[in-house]
Amino acid sequence: MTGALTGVPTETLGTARDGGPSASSASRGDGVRDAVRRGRAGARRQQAYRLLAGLGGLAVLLVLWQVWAVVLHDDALLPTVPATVSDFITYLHEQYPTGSQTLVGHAAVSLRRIGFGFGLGAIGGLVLGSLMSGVRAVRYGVDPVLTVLRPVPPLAFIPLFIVWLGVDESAKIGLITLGTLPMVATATLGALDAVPRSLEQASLSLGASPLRTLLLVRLRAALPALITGMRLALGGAWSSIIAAELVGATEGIGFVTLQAGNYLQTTLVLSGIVVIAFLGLATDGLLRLALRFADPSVR
Amino acid sequence: MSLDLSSPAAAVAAGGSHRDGAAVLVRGVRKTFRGRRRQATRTALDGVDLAVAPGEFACLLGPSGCGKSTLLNILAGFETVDGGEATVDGETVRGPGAERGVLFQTPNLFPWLSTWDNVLYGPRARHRGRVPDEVRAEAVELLRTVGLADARDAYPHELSGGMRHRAAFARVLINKPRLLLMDEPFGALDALTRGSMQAFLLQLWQAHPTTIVFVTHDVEEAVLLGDRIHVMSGSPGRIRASIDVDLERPRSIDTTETLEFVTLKRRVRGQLESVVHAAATEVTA
Repeated sequence: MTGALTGVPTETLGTARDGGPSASSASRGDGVRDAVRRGRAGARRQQAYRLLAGLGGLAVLLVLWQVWAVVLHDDALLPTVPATVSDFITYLHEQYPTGSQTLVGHAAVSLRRIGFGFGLGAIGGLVLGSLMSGVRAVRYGVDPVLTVLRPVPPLAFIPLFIVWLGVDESAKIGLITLGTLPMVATATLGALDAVPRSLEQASLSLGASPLRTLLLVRLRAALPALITGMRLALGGAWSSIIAAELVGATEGIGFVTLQAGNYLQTTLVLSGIVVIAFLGLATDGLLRLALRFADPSVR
Repeated sequence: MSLDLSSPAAAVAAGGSHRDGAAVLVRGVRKTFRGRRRQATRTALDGVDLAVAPGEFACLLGPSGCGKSTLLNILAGFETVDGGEATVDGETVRGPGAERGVLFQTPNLFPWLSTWDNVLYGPRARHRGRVPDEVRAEAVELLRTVGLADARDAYPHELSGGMRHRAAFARVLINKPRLLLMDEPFGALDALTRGSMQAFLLQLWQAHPTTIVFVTHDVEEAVLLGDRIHVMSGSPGRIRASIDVDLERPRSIDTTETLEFVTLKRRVRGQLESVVHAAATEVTA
């Protein structure tokens, strides 16, 4: 985040007073360009610094883990870092349990469930939220339903979904959709409501049609807040899918983690956790990338 | 803030008739806002008449809640009238349009667009995305005029308050509006920036003559900028007095130190106070 440029000399009464028709706008402009460039370079430096500090924090975590594992000296309780890494690499190409999937395969299964469930929920939430923002009857009718649904953790619906849909894919996808849709709908509604009326008026009075204003201003202005809402919903989707796979599944990263735990293969449990963390980070990273495109002030 | 009049575009604009701009005529306009929940229905404007000649700089002066912004929003086409008629160049106002440029209290730039894309927003909307080369050339010229030539790739959050306002000016002026509607455009700026923006507006208006309706609650600002000041009071909003400002042009910040300015300012303030006082006793009576 770069700060606004303050104290640029153009803002003084002096230039206003002596400003004849020939005052040099070029030299003044250079200051602007330099200041913008400096502001952006500063933001990049800050980012690099943040990345370094973040990596340092992770390194400290690994060191603590290793020291603790050596002290404990019990592979079932806490295996060492090298042992975990070695098993992790092994199961990237070996099936677990035999005849099932590799870690990569399990990750792909979970990712597919998230893709369908979150995708459906996000699109549904987007449409529902837009309708709520545009049509008062829909808003007043749907709002109480969302208000009742939102505080209930999607996990509470697992038994119901197993009764309704069994233990196949649709139950898990449905569960994620159920968790995602109300959150995205609420975020969409909030984001659209927060777009200042005057921004739309500015667009209309500049000659844009109402449709152009809706698409290029109202929805566009709401986009950053909407993506932020989706990021929150995505976090929820990951916790739901892992929990659902712990309860009733024969593949998926949550299933591997539970299975390994049952057989005291702690290295694989830890590997599963690492994969979940990686998948969560990667999918969130995609949305963060989208946010960077949507909002210049976070670049 | 100074303008580069040596540039061809600005010179052409300045060389044109100094009475360029639209004629504004408001007759018997009434506007009521329906009360929400248990609030009473409020009459914002009642029987407002206003005439602004082409090229005139008209100021609407009054306390908060006197309906001056409502009147401006009616001219902009953001609000409909409940009675009477508002016409610009003889045509009844039916909605927002590019020939009536609006500058708001905040610059309202689109935060996801660079200065350049903000300025070209209007032309793109009106030419369905294909902007003619001469309009691009005008945009370059305009950015130079408002002192933002080298900030064309900067985003609004990277600009200072005054720069954002100047970008908003460029974005509106590219449409060559025949009427500029300004709703306390400098109200949120610090005193120093505000002074330089007022001087900037005066010079810009010399270079790009057009009709201006300027809403303010600041007596000094109204006297410095306007040709004619319409004093309003609220509940219901009406124009209670119209005062001609016969100070010499071009004006600058120095004008505020002349005796004529101070005398006129005192007269306008007296009018405003008596009008507000009269409205207050009317309500209690």
